[in-house]
Amino acid sequence: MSKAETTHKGRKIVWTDIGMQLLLLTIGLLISLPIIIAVLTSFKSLQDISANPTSFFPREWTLRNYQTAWNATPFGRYLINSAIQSGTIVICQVIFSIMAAFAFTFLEFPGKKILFGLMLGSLMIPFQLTFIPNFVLISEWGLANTYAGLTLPFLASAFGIFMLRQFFMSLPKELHDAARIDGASNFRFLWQVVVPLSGGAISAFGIFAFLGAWSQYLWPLVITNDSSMRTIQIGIRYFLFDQERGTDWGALMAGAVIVLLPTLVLFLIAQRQLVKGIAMSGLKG
Amino acid sequence: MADMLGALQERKKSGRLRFKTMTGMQKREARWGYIFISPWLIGFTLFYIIPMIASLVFSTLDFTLSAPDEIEFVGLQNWVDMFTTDERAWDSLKITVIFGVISLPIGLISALFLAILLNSENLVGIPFFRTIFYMPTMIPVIASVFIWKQFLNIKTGWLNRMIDWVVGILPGDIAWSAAGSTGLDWLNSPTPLLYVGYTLVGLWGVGNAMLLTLAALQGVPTDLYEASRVDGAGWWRRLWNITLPMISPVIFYNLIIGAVGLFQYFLIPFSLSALTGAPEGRSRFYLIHLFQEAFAFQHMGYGATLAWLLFIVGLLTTLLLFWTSKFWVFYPGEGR
Repeated sequence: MSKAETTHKGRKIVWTDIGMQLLLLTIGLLISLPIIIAVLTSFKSLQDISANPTSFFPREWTLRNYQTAWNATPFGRYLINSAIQSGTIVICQVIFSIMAAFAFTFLEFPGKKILFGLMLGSLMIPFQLTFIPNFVLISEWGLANTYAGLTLPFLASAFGIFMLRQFFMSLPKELHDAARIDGASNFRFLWQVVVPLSGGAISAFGIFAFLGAWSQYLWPLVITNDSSMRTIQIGIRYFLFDQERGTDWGALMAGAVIVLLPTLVLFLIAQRQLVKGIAMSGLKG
Repeated sequence: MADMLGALQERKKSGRLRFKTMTGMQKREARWGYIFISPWLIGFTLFYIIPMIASLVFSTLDFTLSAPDEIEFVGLQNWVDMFTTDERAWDSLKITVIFGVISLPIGLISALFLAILLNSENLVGIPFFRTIFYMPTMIPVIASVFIWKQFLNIKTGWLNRMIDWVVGILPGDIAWSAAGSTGLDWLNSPTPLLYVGYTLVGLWGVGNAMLLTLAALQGVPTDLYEASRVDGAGWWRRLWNITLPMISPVIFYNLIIGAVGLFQYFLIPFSLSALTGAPEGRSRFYLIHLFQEAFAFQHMGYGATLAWLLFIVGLLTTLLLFWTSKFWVFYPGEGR
């Protein structure tokens, strides 16, 4: 009797698994279809792109778009600038967010509630509101066309603080009490307990912060006018707003593929950390 | 405001802390607290508080960036205009809210659904699919808008072609075609379909919420599931009674960030229809209107006024959401 039951149960589990796997495949295909179309577009010739109806595969494969994208602007220089700008922003945002989220979750200090409320409120401040005053401020300091000017306003992130705070809040309170009883300093509790337990959340925020910095457009556009200081997104949009020739979609797609690659590499690296987060979380129970 | 942030952890039951009456240990803790938040506090003061005050001053002026010398003080005129004569501002606010009602739930549920799928056991190729699912979020918005324009094209778009194919294999006479001139015009029809189309485009940004939900799902202690399995709870009950409460802090975060994104919704409509609001002004979201007033018409002072209204509306929404969080967000760290 018990044997029949197990086979029955075993089969049921297998069937749901197959269903889930198929679902995963279907959604994966649906999501990747437009991406595949975009990548294929980057290999199409100009006539091929404007043909109606468009073909799925390029009629003739060409690297012309990549050449155009790379040569039309100092793409290499832009890439380096973007790497420095985004790297600085990510490192600072991650460290500062961990610190502040820790304080808002585990420490008591006068004015904490009001400061936390202000932090949340700052999420709702539209970029357009602070944009022009910040531009004036940074220019007054003589920081236009510098890496400092590109990064300074973004070194601390209310998004990161709020996000990590949400994760820290779900850590069991006993952990902090136990650490206190053991006489561990707040610093040790932060680095040896809270950070390792939140590896997944922290690396996820690292990815978001990078993506946010990497895709910035308006600020780099106004705060730099020297071609040697501009960032990669400005390079991309060059193709979109080229008044003379119209939009060169092929080059735009090629540029987008080039811009996508560093993010993809970073994601693949950070993904290991996301998985590590699973192993770690076993401790939490 | 402090009352509304009831979700905040309350460790000390003795009421408000005052620096004078604190013990040595409390003082040390408070000092660490201030040190830890100081980088954010400095940045916040310099790049948020000061610009906001500046912006408030701007809202009493009439000036353009091109002729900064001709500044005129107009008092509260900008504010009066906004409330009395500028119908577009309120229309655009309404459009933004309607779009939010459609897109926010779809976005949140999609993120949750994808994360649950990626978190399920016994499936093959999870790391691969995790990357695929996150890929669209990595693509620069401007490029993805182009992709979607192709994908959602009324005649040649792959989506309408796929719908036709699916409808075509259905039994019976279904005389209905998604593609062609009478088909589903996702991005140009002045009906709510437009907002569904825009939601589809926006779904590509769902990767962040998905990843975060995934991280939260992986933080749910496994022994909770084992206990409920012993109790004979089914998949739905486990989801409803364990998973959702345990990850509610992150769902709440996604909701707040979604609301922030809604009120600052700009790049996608700007890339799709520039500042025209096409079709028939239906894509004139609030920030499109603001951008047009401030930068196209060069009414910088009025732009600052509109930005302030947006901030006030957004802040009230956040506070309202925070108030609701009392009833549905569960923090395991507190209240034991």
